[in-house]
Amino acid sequence: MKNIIVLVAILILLAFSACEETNQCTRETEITAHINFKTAGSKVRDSIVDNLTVIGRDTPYYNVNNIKSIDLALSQASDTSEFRFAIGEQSDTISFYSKREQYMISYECGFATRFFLDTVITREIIIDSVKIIKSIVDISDETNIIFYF
Amino acid sequence: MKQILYFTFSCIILFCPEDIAAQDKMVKNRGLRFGIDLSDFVMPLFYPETKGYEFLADIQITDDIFIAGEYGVSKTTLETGSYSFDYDLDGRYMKIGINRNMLKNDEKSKNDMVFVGIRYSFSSFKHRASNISIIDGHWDEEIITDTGERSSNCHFIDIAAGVKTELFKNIYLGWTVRGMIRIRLEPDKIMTPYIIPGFGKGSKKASIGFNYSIYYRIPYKIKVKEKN
Repeated sequence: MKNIIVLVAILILLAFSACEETNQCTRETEITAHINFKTAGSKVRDSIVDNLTVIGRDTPYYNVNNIKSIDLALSQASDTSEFRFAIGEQSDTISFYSKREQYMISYECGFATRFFLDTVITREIIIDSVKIIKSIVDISDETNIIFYF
Repeated sequence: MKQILYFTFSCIILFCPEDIAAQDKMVKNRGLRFGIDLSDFVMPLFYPETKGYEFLADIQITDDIFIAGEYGVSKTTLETGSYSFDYDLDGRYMKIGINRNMLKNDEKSKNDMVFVGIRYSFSSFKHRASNISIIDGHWDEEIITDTGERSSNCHFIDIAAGVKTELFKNIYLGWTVRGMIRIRLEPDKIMTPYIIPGFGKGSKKASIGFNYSIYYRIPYKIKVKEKN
């Protein structure tokens, strides 16, 4: 009898651990490439960019002052995403080349696209150089790319 | 919420007093007993997306120890509306282990049992998400895609407790409450299964279940000594 009581207690504990969670989507589902700005040269430090405009597919993305990082959504239908960066009167076209893979965030939130960065190409007009830090662009907040000015 | 009510109901049944009397020595039937889970015919009323069947069997090897096993198949279908994609899963599972009869070996309940048991369980399945719609607001794009068929498997432990009682000659009814603990689910970087056949929700590491089954025991009688 004691064994049955102990077993029932275990089953009740398992029941609570197996309880349903909310059916709502509670997670962020937009996936963006996280880009930090740094100064080029022997002493690398955060770079604050003034009067920055970023346009993707003729749609303004950023138009801000005093910014040291940005998040860009890459195209989910193409291996290439192009943005036009302008600081003051100077501008540059920056192309992101990547492979894409759809994966499930959760049943409630659905699927999102994860990117595997291959290269980032600029004409080096306003950006000195580019470095890919983390090639996988997914739901995490980690820095993917550094632009050196 | 459904699962909480379902489990509470099962616990009420578990604690209902059983008229379990027992006495005496006798000829016992130790033949193979096999059955089918009747709750699989009711569960689709609560969870219409999942259908399946489970077959059970046990055989007594000592006065109070039984080798027991279950085999089941399960199919799950989700359609766009519940989620932003269609989903299909097809799988099967097998459980093997032992039950121990906690009843005294006596005449009145000679073919009845109140048991506790443990199983090693294995589930394998194929699943697929299709008509996946992802809308990109910034690039003004919508992509429709498909995961393709993906295979996976899961190992888990099943702890059981229940009752089997002889209703008519060689015909038994019984219920079982189960607690299941997942040991290993084959990793998949694309998606987790909605349901693991034989276990429960794919996102959970522990699960509970309930069977209500009918059995037939092949007659195979032997004489056993009475235990007092």
